[in-house]
Order: sequence, then structure tokens, then C-alpha cells
Amino acid sequence: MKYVSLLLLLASCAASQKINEPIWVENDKQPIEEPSQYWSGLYWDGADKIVFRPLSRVWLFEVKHPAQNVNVLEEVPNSSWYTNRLALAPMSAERMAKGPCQSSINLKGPLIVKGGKVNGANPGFRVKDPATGSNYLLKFDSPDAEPYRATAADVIGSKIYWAAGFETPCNEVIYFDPKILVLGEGASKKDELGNKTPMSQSDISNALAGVSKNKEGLTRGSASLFIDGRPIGPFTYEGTRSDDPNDIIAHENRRELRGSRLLAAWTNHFDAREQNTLTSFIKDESGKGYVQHYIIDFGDIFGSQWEADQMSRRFGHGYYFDASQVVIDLISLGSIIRPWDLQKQYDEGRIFGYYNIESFIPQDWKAGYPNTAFNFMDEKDAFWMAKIISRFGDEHIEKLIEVGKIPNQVYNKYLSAMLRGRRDKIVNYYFRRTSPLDRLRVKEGVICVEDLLITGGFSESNDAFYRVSFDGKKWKNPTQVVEDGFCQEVSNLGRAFTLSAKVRRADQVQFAKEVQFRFRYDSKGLKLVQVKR
Amino acid sequence: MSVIKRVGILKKLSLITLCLTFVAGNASGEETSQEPQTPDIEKTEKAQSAKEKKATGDTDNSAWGSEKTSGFRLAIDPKLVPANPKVPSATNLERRVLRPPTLSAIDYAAWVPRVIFFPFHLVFEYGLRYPLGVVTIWTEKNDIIAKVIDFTSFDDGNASITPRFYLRSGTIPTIGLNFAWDNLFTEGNDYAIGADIGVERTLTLEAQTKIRFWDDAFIAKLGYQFHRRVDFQYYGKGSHTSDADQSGFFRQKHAGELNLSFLPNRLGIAATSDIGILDYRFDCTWREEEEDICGADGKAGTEDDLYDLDSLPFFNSGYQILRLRGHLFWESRDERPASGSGLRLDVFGQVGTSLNDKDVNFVRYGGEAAAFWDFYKQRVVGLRLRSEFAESISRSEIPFSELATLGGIETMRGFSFARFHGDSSLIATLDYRYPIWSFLDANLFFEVGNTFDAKLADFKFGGLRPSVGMSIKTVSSRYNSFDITLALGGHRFDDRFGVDGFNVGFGTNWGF
Repeated sequence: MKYVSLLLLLASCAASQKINEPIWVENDKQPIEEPSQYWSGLYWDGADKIVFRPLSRVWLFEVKHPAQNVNVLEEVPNSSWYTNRLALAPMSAERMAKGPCQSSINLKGPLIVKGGKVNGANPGFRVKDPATGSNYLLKFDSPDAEPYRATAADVIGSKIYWAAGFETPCNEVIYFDPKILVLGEGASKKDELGNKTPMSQSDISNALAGVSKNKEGLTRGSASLFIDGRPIGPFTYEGTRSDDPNDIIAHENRRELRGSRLLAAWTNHFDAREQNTLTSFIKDESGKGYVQHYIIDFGDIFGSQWEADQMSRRFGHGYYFDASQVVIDLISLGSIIRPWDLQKQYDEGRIFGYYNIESFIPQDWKAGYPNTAFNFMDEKDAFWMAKIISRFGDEHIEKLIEVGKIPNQVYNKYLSAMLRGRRDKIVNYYFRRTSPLDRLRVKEGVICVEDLLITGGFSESNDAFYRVSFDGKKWKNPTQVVEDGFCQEVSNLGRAFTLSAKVRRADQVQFAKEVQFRFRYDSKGLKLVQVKR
Repeated sequence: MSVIKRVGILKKLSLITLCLTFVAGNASGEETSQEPQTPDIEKTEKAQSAKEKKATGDTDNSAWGSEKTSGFRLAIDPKLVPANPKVPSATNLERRVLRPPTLSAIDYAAWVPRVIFFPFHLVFEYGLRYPLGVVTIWTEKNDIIAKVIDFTSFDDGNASITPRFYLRSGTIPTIGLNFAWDNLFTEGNDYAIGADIGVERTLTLEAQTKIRFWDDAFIAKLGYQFHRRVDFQYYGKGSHTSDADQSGFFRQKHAGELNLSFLPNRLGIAATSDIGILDYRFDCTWREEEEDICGADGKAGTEDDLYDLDSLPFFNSGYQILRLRGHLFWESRDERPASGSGLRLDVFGQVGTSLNDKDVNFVRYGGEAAAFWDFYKQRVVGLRLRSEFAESISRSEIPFSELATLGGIETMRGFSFARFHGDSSLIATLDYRYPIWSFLDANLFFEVGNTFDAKLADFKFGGLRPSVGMSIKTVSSRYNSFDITLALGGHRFDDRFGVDGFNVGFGTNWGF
């Protein structure tokens, strides 16, 4: 009995004391040997994720666990995957519009064409600017169906993901005279057979023949600056890279990748698959280096339309082939009204296809095919990303749309309205599902807690009822309800205490799940040491 | 006793000491075993490159919300978080998983089914997924499909060799090759030859040329076909046939035909017609000897013949005819995504006349009227009525293989292909079609129909048979689809209730 007491005592000692300092750096940039190239197959990746992986893994009865790269404050440390930007601090609209670009892309020419893909619906070239020595990928719109959309999407998407914390290439919309494109020595193209053949000037002319132009006859495209380091293939949304010793957290357990499901839902980045990511090896002088992770291609966002309208209608609502939906529709004899049945296109947003608000259901959003990290997203991951999305203010959205340089203000207004509306849907859903109480500010004897629904402008302050509790004791009203939440006086609570808080809105029957904030006094005063959601 | 007491006090002291040590250990652990704290971050910031330092200016730490309020500070200070840190080495890698998974009861419970079903995982993972992945990735990476297409095609893809397959329930599958050369001499002039083989002497040889006009809406086609199969079935003629009457026979056909078709891209009026010379031969050979039409001995004219072969006009002698056919239809519906409501009318007819002294002269004609109601987003109810008539226009009877037929993938789908033969046929179909995927619809159907004597002379409601089932159909043109069908057929209504046919069919279907 004594030994049991001893163990209990030790356990209680440990439980009461062991709260680590918040970790803000995931030390995953240690020098390693260069990993090998990873090649990802488009068709196999789709077939595997839709059919073969589920068939094989269903027998393992996988249990989802909370994200692992999370510190005691429920935040994500900086790493080769993620940098805290909007997650922790505000950002000006101008800075957001600049995104990952150190300076504006200004291609006056001549540009040396080094190669590229000249076949297919959306041709592209690799070019070099001899003036700066920089390499770019030029991409163009499909002008008949959706002029301006793909190039604007690629640019705006890169800024959104960057501001949210991901690394993206510097993409900008450019208008240029095709005459500045000069065929480089040894320029080659890859045909449908994968064969490299020499490029000719006519390949360039043919590829540019049908692309968007402005009134002055300048060709519209998006320029994507090559990323730093040596590209070594995409990253996967599952597992780890065996030849990268820094990569020790299974990717499906990374909060930023799980939470990026909401970013994808917001922008309808249904093509969020591994081929649209990239890793590069950043070397130091010793030849060793680390792997940096990028998300790279956003050309599908904001309502990409495929030739098969029935596919375009389903983007965001189902996988390319969604066996569960097929079976349910088959059995239910078509009696279930699906979101794609209700899809509408609007003249004022014609180029944005079915990118709309009314059919958007944030919690039901799906990528083109199963993305393991997305599917592992839990409410905590979702809240974390919804918090970031809530910080894209209207002024940020307006500025982002400006960099898309769509010359039609009707389209711009439409896109702005859709981004705002979808943002609000995401935030409202996840902030109401979990507690929106966050972002504490403290001074001696007082803790103020923000209600993110109010500070984000998603709710009125007078429709919230708050309750607080110290160290699990009786719930009571907070000391003072303020404009953006509430403040609570703290006194006579010892060196460490836990403040639990919960909120109920006027239209809710029950209080949302409580959130616990653990505080401790140190030499600098009151200190938040743990958040539990 | 006092010693014991002292030991007790010592124990208590040691307990307290142990607890304090443990706490201290934890406290020190906070400082030593975890990631760099503020001082380390400061060091890190100093070590950052100029570029990385620039990146720290990404956010504006000073102006967000009401933390400006006098005296307050943010509980999470963003200034403590370095942007783009590159931390020097010598940190224990194993400690960088910030939050190791905490195992719950579900984790432990999951091991029970995991162990039980692990063999299934092994089979699917290493028997299917892994090898298929290796092969598919290799194929993709090396552009094998494109290279195969390139190897089997010429003239910038105008000419190609492609495999082809024929698969239909109840029949012998065949495999073959098709060699096509489009735009060979002039634009819009295509040529093709093909051959298919199957077991039991099954063979098809084809050659054709066609000319396409008006954006392929009008096609003139000249072709020859040799067709030999041992899987044709005959259950007798008229409305009183039974599943027990099944018999089979061999058919060989030579056909030379000129076909003209007008199928505009927009639906509306369309037509096909052909003129052909055909030669038919039949014999008793069938894939199952006991059930061939000549009985177990396989010889015609013996006592065990399943049918009086003399009553099967032209079975013994075969026939050669000149045939003229036409098919005209009108479709009021537009292609998807337009509404599926509308009407369709089909009329078709053919005339056959002997090319030699055999007295073969017949006409076949009929039509179908259909109405469709799309009550919600391609959920379509359709009602169709179809009838066909076959008549001899000479003193001889019409060849048995030119009779009106029902059964297969288009009509009376609960029964096998050409299950019913008669001088006339009548069928009414109630369909419900609804989308289940971008490229697939499901189709529930209920049909009643049968073959009858000339001009439906013996028609009565009790003489009809039901057929009910479900199809999965590709979503393509309103003209046709590829179907996979599962259906049951029943006895005549005036007969006993029960199942008389079962059909699993796949192939292209016309209409609906």
C-alpha cells in the first residue's frame, strides 16, 4: 500500500509540474547528405489513394492521433515545412501581396527560352533572364474557357499559402511582348512520349498563338521564379522520407499539412496532391544541407473547369471517383440531392466556374482524391488553420486580387465576394464548433481573453455568454465582459493555476467545449505555459 | 520500536527528497532536454543570414488588436518566434517529435482485429498494391503507354494497330486486332481491317473504308464482314417458348454492305441506311453438344433433333440475299447538361430478297416511341413502346434468322440475346435513370413484352413476360451508352409466377 502511495505521490508530482517551455523551432534543418530524387506518378498516385491504399490499409484499423509537431501552446513551431506568419502576428496587405517575392518580377527581355512543355492545354516555358541570371517558369491561360483565371490563381494562391505559413515560389502575373522570347541554344521540349527533342521558334509561336493578350497586344502569363536549392521531387502527404534524417514526424501527423485542408477548401485547391508540392535540397559550403518543403502549383484554384462539366461540378464535393458516394447514390436511387446538383454559374463570375459560396460546405470539402494528411485533420488542427484564415481581412483579399491583374472589375468583385464568403463560412463553422477563445493578453492580476468570432467580425459581442473556472472549481461569470471578449481578475491563486473558459452564443443551446489556459508566475510576471483545447 | 519509527521517518524523508528530486529533475528537464529557449533563439537570430533576417519582417508585431491597451502584453509574444531559423547541429534528433502519440484504449483494442485481419493486409499490400505500384510507376516514368501507342501507330497517329475484345454473357469471348488508317488518300477517307478469334471455330474478319463529310456528321461506309460463331441460340418461335427449349446452332455469314449514316453533332433528325449482299449458312454445331439444335447425335434430320429442322426455314440450305435497310429517328433532347426530358421516335425497316433461285423475300419494319421526363437534374423516368414485324412477301416463309427477336442488352434484358423469335414483337419499358458518378448512371427498368404470331395476332396481355433489372450505363451521347446489366426475366403472365431467365449483359446500348 505504501508503495502504491509512493507511486501516486510521484505521479502527482510529475503531473503537476511537467509542463515544457513552448518550442518554437522544430530543429529539422540539421546538415544531412543530399537525399535521392523522388519521382511521383500521376496515375498511380490517384489510383493508389482512391482504390489500392484503402483496400490494403483498411485491415490495419488505423487510429488517428493528434498532430505531433505542436507545442504546449497548441501552436506549430517553425520548420523546413512551416513558418509562423499570420498564425502569430498580423501582416500588412502590402506585405501579403508581395508574398515570397523579394522584389517584383520585371521581365523586360530578352528572355532565353531553355525548354518546356509545348503541348497540352496550358503550355509553359522555362526561361532565363540574362539581366539577373534568374530562371522562371512561364505559364499561360486557357483563354477560351477561363481567360485570366489560371494565371491569377497561380499567383494569388502562392501568396495565400505563403501568408498562411507555407513556402511557395515567387509567382507574379506579367504582360510581355512575345518578341522578347529568344530560343536558347540547346533548348528542348518533351513530347508526349517523353522524348526530348529540339525546340524551334515555331514551337514558341504555336504555343503562344491562343493565349490571353491585353488590349496592347501583350501576352499575359504567370512567371514563377525557380526556388532555391536543387529540386529533389515532391513531398508526400503521408509517411516520412527515409533518406532525410531530419524528417521524423509522419507527414499525416503534421498540423500544418492537416490544417491545409481548410486552405484548400477556401480556395478550392482540389488538386492538392503530392505532384503539386516540391522539395529542394539547400546545401551549405560543406556540401551538406537540409530539405526545404514547398507547395507549388495553384493553377486549379478558384473554379478550374474541365471539359466534362459533370466533373467540374463535383470539384470540392467529391473525389474524382468517390466509391462511397457512388454506392450511396446507387442504393438511394438518386433520392439524395447532392451539392453538385445545385451548382450554378454566374455571368459575373463566368471564368470562375463553380467557385461559389452557396454550395460550399467547409466540413465536407474534398480534394480530387484522398489526401491522407487532409483526412487526418482533427478539430484542433482545423481550429488552428481557421484562426489563420480568419486573419485574412477584407483588405488583404482586395490586395491579393489586385496582384491577379484580372482586367475585368466584375470578375474581381466576384472573386473577392467568394473569398470573403467562403472564409466566413469556414471561420464560423470551426470557431463555433470549438472554443473561439484565444489570444490572451495579461498584466499583473488580470487576464483578458479574446473571442475570435468577435475580433474577426464574425459575431456581435452581445450575443456571447462566457463562463470561467479556476483549477476545475465552480464555473462563474468572468469579472468583466469587454468589447472583444472578457477579462478576469486573478489573485490568491498560487504560483500556478489553470483558467478554464467556455462560451455560448445566443443561437447555441450548449456551451462550446471549454479551453484551458495554464499560467505560472515567473520573474517576469504572469506567464501562459500551456493551452489545452 | 524506536528503530522502526526512525526507519519510518527516514522513509518519509526519503519520499519527500525523492519527490523534490523528481520535481527538480522535471524543472531542469525543461531547461536542458527541450528545444532552445529564448536565449537560444536569440543566438539563432544572430546566426541567421541577411536574407533570413529580412524575412523576420514579414509580420507586424506591433499592431494587432487591443494588446496596445495600457499595461497589457500578449501571452504569446510573436517576437520570440524566429522566422526561417537554421539551428546549428548537435541537438538530439530523437527529441524533436514534440508530441509523441498518446495511446488510448482504442489503440490497444484495435490490435485485436488488426491481428485477425493482418493476412488480408499482407495479401492486398504485397500481392496487389506493391507490385501494381511498381509496374504502374515504371510504366508512367518511362512513358510506356505513349511508347506502345507510338510503336503501334504510324503516319502521325493516323494509322494504328489496336487490340479489341468481344465479351457478352452467354457467348464465346473473342480477341482480335484492328488495323486502321485514317485520312489515307484524302482527308476524311479511312480504312480498317480487323480480325477476331475465339474458341470453337469462332472467327470474324472485317475490312471497311469510309468517307466522312460535314464534320463527321455524314459517313459513307463500304465494308465486308465474315462472321462465324457457334453460340447462337434458339428457343422456338412465338410467345409460348420456355427456358427448357434452349438449343444452339452454328452460323456463318458473309456480308458486303454500303452504309450511309447521318448523325449530326446536335441531336434532332438522324438516319442510317445500308444496302448489302449477305450469305448465311447454318449447321448443328454448338458449344454444348447435348443442347445443339440437332440433339445429342449432332446430326440434322434424326429423331433426337430438338426442333423439326424442316420447320426452321432455310436452316438446312442457308440463303443469300440483297438487303436494304433504313433507320430514321428524331430526338427532341439535347446532350447533357441539358434536361433529359423529351421525346424520341424511331422507325426502321428492311427488305430482303434472294440473290438466287431460293424463294426468300421478306420485309421487316417497326418503330419505337419514347417519352422521357427529367424530374430533377438528370433523374429521368422514361416510357417506351416498341414493336417490330417480319413478313414474307413470297410463298416461302421468312428465314428463321430474319424473324423479329427480343432479348439481350437492349430489349427484354432479363433474357439472353435473341431469346425470343417471332413474326412480330411488342415490348413496353418503364425506365428510371439517375446519376451515380460523373460518367456513370444507374438505370432501373421494368419491361413487359414477347414475340407473337404475324401482326401480333395472338397478342393478349397474359402472353406478355416481365423483365426487371438494373444497369450501370456510361454517360455519353443520348444516342448510346455502354451498359452493364443484371436482370431477371419471368414466365408469361398467364403462366406460373417465377423466374425464367437471368442475364448478365455488357455492351453498347441504343437510346435512353
